[in-house]
Amino acid sequence: MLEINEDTNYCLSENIFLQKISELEKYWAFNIESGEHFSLNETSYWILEQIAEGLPIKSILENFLDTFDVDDEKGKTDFFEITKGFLNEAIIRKGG
Amino acid sequence: MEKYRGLTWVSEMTNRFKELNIGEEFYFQWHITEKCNLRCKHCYHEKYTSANELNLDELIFIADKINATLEKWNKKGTLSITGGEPFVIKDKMFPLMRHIDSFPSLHHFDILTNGWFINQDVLTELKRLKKLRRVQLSLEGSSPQINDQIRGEGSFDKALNAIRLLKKNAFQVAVMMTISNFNRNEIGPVINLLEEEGVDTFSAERFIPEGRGASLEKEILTPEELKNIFSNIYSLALKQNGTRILLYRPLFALLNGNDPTVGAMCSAGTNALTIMHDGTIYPCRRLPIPIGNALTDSFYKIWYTSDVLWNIRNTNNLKGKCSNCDLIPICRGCRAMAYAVTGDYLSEDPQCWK
Repeated sequence: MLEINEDTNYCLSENIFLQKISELEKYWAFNIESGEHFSLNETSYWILEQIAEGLPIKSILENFLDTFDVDDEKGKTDFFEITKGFLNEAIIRKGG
Repeated sequence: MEKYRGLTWVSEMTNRFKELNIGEEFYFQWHITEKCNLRCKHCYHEKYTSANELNLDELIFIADKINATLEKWNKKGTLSITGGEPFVIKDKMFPLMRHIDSFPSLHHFDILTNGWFINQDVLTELKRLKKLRRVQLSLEGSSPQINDQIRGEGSFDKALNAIRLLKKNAFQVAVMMTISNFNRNEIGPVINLLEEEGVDTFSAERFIPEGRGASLEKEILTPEELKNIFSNIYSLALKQNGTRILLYRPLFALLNGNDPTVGAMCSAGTNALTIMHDGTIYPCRRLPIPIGNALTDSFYKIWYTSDVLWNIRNTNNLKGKCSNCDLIPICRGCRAMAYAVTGDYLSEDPQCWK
């Protein structure tokens, strides 16, 4: 099981394509090589957008806690849970 | 009270979708050639040179991609082989059909043809294909006088002979008719003829002014005319016993939104792709905007990243009367008709009478 390191930079894996229809509250990540697709919620899509912009995980976490109305401890736990899921599904990778 | 009634309506539409299992199917319409022996006046093709037509190895390569994609998506795959006239290149068509016939992902496939080259030898070959469901031909009238003015001299007799031979050999036969001002009074007579001939299904497609038919704008039916014609087809469908009349087309839903056999969402961006003779991909054959090439792009890339497909999928992008229509979940109008008439595939369906 891969773990997220706060001091490591991450980026979207190759062939991952993000798409959203905000008005319909639909969010996805697609792998255009393997055909896998993932339905996301607004929060997890927001995190992927930040990762796609090349921001360090530390900054993304800070932005996340500032942006969403969530208790810091709960938010941090959820954040790492979600990003670990992205890493394990190869939606994101180290680097960038 | 009004709000509650509205929610109940939406709920019914959602259930209807589940019953039709639309999300489980995916359809490819494959124009393996542009070559054709006919020059129908309303044809959506413009050229018949079939420049850069794919060779058999390339066709097999794309077929394997189709199979892999359907397996990955776990979709019930359906496919139509067509042209041009596909039997013009039967040296490629038959090996291709034998190849796709073995695909586990493919539920069935159909052939769309003008029937000109169908003979007993051809049918003997076709009988060996386990997944060939149906052969579809086109008729534009119930007699040569009307039909041949659109499709060319001799085409009515050829189509009728093909229908008879197919039925004699126990094939399922479909007939499609393209409705325009020219043949609008022929629907009843054509359906009667098909009943007599034992044809299995009938469907009507609206004439769209593109390709060779681009200059025939006067043949487009007005919304009121189309409403009357669709109503007529619907009442014939309710009465018909033999030939099944298929109503799975946009705008039919306006006639009776509660009948699950009436109407269908436009398949562009929803559950279908069209492959052209050179591998070019369109959202639909009648919406000729290239969105990729099946030789060089994966279907995943095309399906997931095409701006055209995403613009269509986001129903908030639809304009005019389509933008606030309560039938959007089951209709969305014909994007191809909007494109042909206005140049904007997101504009309202110009033939909608709502």
